[in-house]
Amino acid sequence: MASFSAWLTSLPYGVSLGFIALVLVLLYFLFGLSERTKRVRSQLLVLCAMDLITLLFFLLTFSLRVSKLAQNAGATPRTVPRLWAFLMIFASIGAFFAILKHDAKEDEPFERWIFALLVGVGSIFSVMMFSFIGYYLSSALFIVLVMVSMGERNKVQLVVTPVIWCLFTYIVFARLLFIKLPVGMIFKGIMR
Amino acid sequence: MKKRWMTAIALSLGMSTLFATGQSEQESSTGEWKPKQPITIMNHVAVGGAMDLYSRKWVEIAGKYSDATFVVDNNSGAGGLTAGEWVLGQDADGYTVFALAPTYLDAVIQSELPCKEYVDGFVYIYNLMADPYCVLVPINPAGGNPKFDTFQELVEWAKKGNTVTLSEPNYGAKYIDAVQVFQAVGIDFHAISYESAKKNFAALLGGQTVASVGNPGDTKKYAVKALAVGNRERVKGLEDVPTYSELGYDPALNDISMWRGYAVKKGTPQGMITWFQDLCDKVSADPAWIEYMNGNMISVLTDKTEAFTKTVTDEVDSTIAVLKSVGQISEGYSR
Amino acid sequence: MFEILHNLGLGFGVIANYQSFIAILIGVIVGILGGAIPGISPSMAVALLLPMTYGMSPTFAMVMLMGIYIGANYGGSITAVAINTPGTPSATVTAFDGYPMLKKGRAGEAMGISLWASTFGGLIGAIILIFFSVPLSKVALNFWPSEYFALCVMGLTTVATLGGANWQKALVTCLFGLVLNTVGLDPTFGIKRFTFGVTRLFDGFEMVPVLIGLFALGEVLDNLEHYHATDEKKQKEEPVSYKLPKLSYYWHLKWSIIRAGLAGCLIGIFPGAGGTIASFIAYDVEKRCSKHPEEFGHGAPEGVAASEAANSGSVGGAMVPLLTLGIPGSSTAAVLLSALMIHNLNPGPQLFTSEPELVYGLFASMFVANVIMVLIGTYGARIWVKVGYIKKTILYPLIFAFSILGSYSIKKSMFDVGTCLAFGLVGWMFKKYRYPSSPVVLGLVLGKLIETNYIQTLMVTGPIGFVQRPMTVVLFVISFVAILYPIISDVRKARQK
Repeated sequence: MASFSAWLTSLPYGVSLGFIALVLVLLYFLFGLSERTKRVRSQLLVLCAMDLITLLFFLLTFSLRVSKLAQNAGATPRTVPRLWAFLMIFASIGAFFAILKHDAKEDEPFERWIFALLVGVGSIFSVMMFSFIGYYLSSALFIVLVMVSMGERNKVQLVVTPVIWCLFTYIVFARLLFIKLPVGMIFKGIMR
Repeated sequence: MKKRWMTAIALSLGMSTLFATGQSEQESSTGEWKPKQPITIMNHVAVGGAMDLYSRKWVEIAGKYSDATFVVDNNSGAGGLTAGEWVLGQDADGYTVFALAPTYLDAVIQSELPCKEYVDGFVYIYNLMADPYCVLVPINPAGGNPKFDTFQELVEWAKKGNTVTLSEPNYGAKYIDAVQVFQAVGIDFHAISYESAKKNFAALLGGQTVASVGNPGDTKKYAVKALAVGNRERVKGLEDVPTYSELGYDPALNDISMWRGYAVKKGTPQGMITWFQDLCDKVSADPAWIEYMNGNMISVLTDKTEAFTKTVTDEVDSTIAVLKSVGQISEGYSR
Repeated sequence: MFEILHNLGLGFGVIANYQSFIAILIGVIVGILGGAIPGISPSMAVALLLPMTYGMSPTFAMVMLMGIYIGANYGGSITAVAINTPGTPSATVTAFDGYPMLKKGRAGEAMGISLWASTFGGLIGAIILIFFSVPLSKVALNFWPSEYFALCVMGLTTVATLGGANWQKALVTCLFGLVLNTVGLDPTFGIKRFTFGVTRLFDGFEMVPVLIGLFALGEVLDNLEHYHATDEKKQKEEPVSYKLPKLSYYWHLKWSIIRAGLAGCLIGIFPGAGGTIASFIAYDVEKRCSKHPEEFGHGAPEGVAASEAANSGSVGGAMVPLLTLGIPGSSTAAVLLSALMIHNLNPGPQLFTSEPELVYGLFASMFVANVIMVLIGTYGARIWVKVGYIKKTILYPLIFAFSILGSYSIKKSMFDVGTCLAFGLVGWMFKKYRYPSSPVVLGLVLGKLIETNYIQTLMVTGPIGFVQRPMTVVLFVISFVAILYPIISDVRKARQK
């Protein structure tokens, strides 16, 4: 178990998350087989995601070093994560049956989830752009794009909102609080 | 319509170049270096920590000798590791200085991070002070613990089979000193880790532990007294507290102390380093700084790169050795 | 008693000049603004103005910094109510009912309650500090790890309150928060756990980005999923009350405020416990005492009052060990300690006798700061009460930008921004599938405290320590009753039916 745990520890977190995602996809199809689980599938998947992360952490505890100090203490770095994992088993079983109860609410249907997801992805992209075009330009563009995609067509508001935001963050954060915001490679190049 | 949009976009781009300023580049590496923007002193401890207090005082006094703007910042995450990482992530332009103490090195070693990057990635430009370690006990012990007036009493009590419990924050630099001292003295002890120095002393005063390894300045802040001090001569303000060598123990114990100083990222212009060291010399010679340090029972140092780097090297070597001996780090880890 | 009152009178005399008034005014304003901006914690706000105080007399310096502390604890509730983004971790609980009140068009009421509850809670904390600081400091020293552990267990029992009918899901999310809290360096032995080689994770997940992600971004993403352009028109048509209630309105919340203020102050005395734990426990107590517990989480005025009163009451509590022992009760108090030391003052019992003008001037300033806070808050609330009703096409993108900036400001780290965005997605999923997010916060707040104190108890006294000390046993019994009482109550009701 310790060697398996050590191997798991050596994996990058992306691989671990990818494996969890794969298991969730399998569970998605598994829960779809029964009518009872199908109507609450997403709730069950959220529960399973938390359980899988807890299971991963439990497996990783086997490779945690136990020093002489910990041995003398009577509790080690492994103790508490295992305690939470143990309690999670019972809590998950309780939640599982509560979700499956006949009078429990079924999954909320998806509405404009793609739009919301795109905004979320857009924010990630905007953050990645900080190192290239800097914080101010990147966040101004993000604000404008989200406003337009939400249906805002008032040109004055489309210009004034990001400008006021940039001014506010510059004055408060950069000047008053001395918090250096990312400049971006392009502007560093210009300044050079 | 199209023209208006183009104008608006051009205006926005133009304004954002305005906001992108404020980080102008460094002077050329030849000639006298002078700062053109605020210099950030990044502390590896939270606000209120020892190095934070001293660096703020340092900035206050440095203001007499330079019109440079210093911004003291803090990043105490992961025992100071995130502060070190942040400094290493900045440009080596001379506008970021790392204020560190052995706690940072301890965090690097306990996390088994590569010293090549986290230790040797810095140039250790100025060691400001030596804060000796001493064994502290409460003046009025609580929790039924015995009262000790001398270090010998503590040692004899331990040799009768009693367990000396020490409260030490996070098994850090003071724990390292405790191991070296008590190994030399020949008694075993049981160290209990607390999250911070302040919780540490709350535990000691509350009777949870018998003693702690701290610094002489702690005797002014808390109701504790020192039984022995690791310094070549008796500390001013603790004239009745003997040194380890006076007690008959290895004189090398007197040379272990908590140092605190400044470092910069490797590659920082030598001009900046020279300018900063010169400023440090002026502050170290300032009567207000000397009085402040003496008031906290700390020795003022003026060690520059070579001496400071040797101090850091010795600290790393002793920390690795001690932590390996208690199994805190793997045998395979090395500098 | 008379001596204390006499000294307090002298303290008022010390600050009875325009310079002190201006110092407190600046402090409160900076504190409110700092507390309202997520990413600027009260300790950061105090630290930012600390250099300005070097040239001041110690009394002026301390009253100004105290004003920041008091203002910041209230300031966190402004964004918690307006945009469901707690400005400080201790304002998390305020958002549970404050934001739903705003969504129901009761913005003025929510803002008013948070302001006045903060003020009265702060005054309760100040009174306890002034009259009982020395005896309470002895209690603080006698609080061993076993008591801290029992207090944290008591804090965990609030998960049942947070979950309501969904208590099974609440328990799971609380445990999930506890599991996530194990990421990082083990708090006792310094061993890396579940960090996957990411150095930024050595300290675990930073609390503020997690809060912002779970509450603010999760809410915004959920709202974006259900957003239609016609919503703007609907919002304009809905009645909204911006006006703050009259003073007489708050009379019916008096017991909630007094209970919570006392609880906040008492919990704040113990170093490390803090306003966040105090507000969770006070909220739980209020819900159990309420005649309408079903309203909690959906806009109950008592919920907002309890959270804010406890949060502000903890300020007075945190000052008890600071002034009497030199041991700060909170991270902001630690900064105040450094301010005292920079001015060559050593806190401890001798401070009361050697510097009575400073100590009692500080006490007097706490009263004045709370009064100033009410005045600023009353006028300021007229502006920030409208923030929540800004057009959604402007508000939502700004909340995103604010969240990203707030997360970055804490440690100037893009990793924290990533944490915020990741937890935003988690918060969205939780909201969509009715998993309560607040227990995750509870788990994250209490996780390391539970573990650290559990292991310290074993090291100091061994397992017997959990049942040996009377205070520990009392706290465990209270926790046990708190868990059992609703279960027994439900069983009885079912039998009666």
